[in-house]
Amino acid sequence: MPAPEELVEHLFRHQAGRLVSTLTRIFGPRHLQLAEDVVQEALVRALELWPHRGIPENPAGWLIGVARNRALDALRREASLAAKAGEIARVFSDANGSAEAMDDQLAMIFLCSHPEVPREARVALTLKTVCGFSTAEIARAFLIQETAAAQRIVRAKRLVRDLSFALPEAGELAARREGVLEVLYLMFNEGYTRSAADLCEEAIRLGRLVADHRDTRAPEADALLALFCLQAARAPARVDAQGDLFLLADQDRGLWDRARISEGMRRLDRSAAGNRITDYHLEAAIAAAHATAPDFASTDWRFIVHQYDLLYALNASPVIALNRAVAISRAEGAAAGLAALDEIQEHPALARYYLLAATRARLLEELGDSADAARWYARALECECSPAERRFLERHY
Amino acid sequence: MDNYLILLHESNNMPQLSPEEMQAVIRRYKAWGQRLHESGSFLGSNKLEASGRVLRGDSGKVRITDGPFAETKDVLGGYFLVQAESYEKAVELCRDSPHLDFGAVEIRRVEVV
Repeated sequence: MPAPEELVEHLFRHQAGRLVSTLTRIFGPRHLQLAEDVVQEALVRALELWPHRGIPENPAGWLIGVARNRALDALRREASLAAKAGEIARVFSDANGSAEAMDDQLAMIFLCSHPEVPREARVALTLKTVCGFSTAEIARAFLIQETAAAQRIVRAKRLVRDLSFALPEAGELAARREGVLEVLYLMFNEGYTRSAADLCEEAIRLGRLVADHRDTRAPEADALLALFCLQAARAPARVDAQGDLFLLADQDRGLWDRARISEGMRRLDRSAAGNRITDYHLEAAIAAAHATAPDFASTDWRFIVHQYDLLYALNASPVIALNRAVAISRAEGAAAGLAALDEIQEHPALARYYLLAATRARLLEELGDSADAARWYARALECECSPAERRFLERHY
Repeated sequence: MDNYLILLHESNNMPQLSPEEMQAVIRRYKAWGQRLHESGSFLGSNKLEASGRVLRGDSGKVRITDGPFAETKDVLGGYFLVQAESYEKAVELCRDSPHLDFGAVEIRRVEVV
């Protein structure tokens, strides 16, 4: 238990997401910017006062109270919203109205993933509104210029202006939920690739909202969340203090987050409730096979190859084929892995993909062909990859 | 022991911080405040409003204007009152103030006559 005046981690970020969502419901998506401004003002007020007065006993309640007053001020300036005062007073009078706050955030996630919003803007808008990220933080997460991130968000806000804030009707819920899960998947992946734990944690938090809510829960949401938990569980062992990457084989499994693995396995069980197997189910099953193997040598590679076969049947992506080849090399040896790689070697989508070259290099190395291996490591280094991935390649080159 | 007024000046254009960054800044101020408390130096602290009233005597009349006293870019954001043995000690207390990232810290001894 933290001391009462201790701030819960990410309190500001999460309160921002919660308050922006609730105010957007009340004001309407047309006034999303106003909702964000009101919340920003409330947080800035805390930033100004708390260094002098200390942190109040109930920091979240304090922020909610100030946001309420700022919202009421805003209504006085914006005549079209005058009728909303009662609702503001009602919603913000109860600092513990967490169920309603969850509903609002859930609806906000669906709004951000609406088909009207272009794909590449959905994650950015979600991070901006539901996760309390600044434009600069979003730009850093996606390695894009801040102006580009800002443009993406401004455009997306314009596109949601006239949309309904309510959760989709039963008839379109399944399709819309698919869009939401895709956004969370992208968010998590972005975080996982760049070892940006914040993005992964937010994807997990929002994933729980979707998977646990009576209106939106579904086996595939549990499957996705299982995948997130099982992957994130390995994060502590994946990168060292210098930010250097460790392969599965070299990771200290004692560092894996056991609580996360349990949640992942629980979610995976729940995800079996439906009658449809999705990509998320199969990816989660693969992650579970890794997470439950006591050591690298006892990994059930044949099971994993089989999951990749099923995954490839659902989605014939060259990246899946590449991962399948890696699994085959573990189950049947490096030569078999190389043969599987040959099938996708010329795939145009992988031409600049460093992992294809790096995988080939490693398999050649295992076969004792160090000259060829060095050539492929050099090829891998010519491709685009993160600084941590680059250092990893250089260590092995 | 003398009393020292620590004046926190801040620039008018504070950087736009994200919620996460704001929380981190608050945590640093809190840690600094705690160090002041623990060393027994802390006497009081308050935030000041960004603007106020300035009174000037003008040949027998009092002229009142709005605003900060000096027409500079800085505003006086708040103050801490501490006790310390010397200017050197007071400076030591402020050397690790998070405020230095946002503006100048001015220290003035309260002169006792």
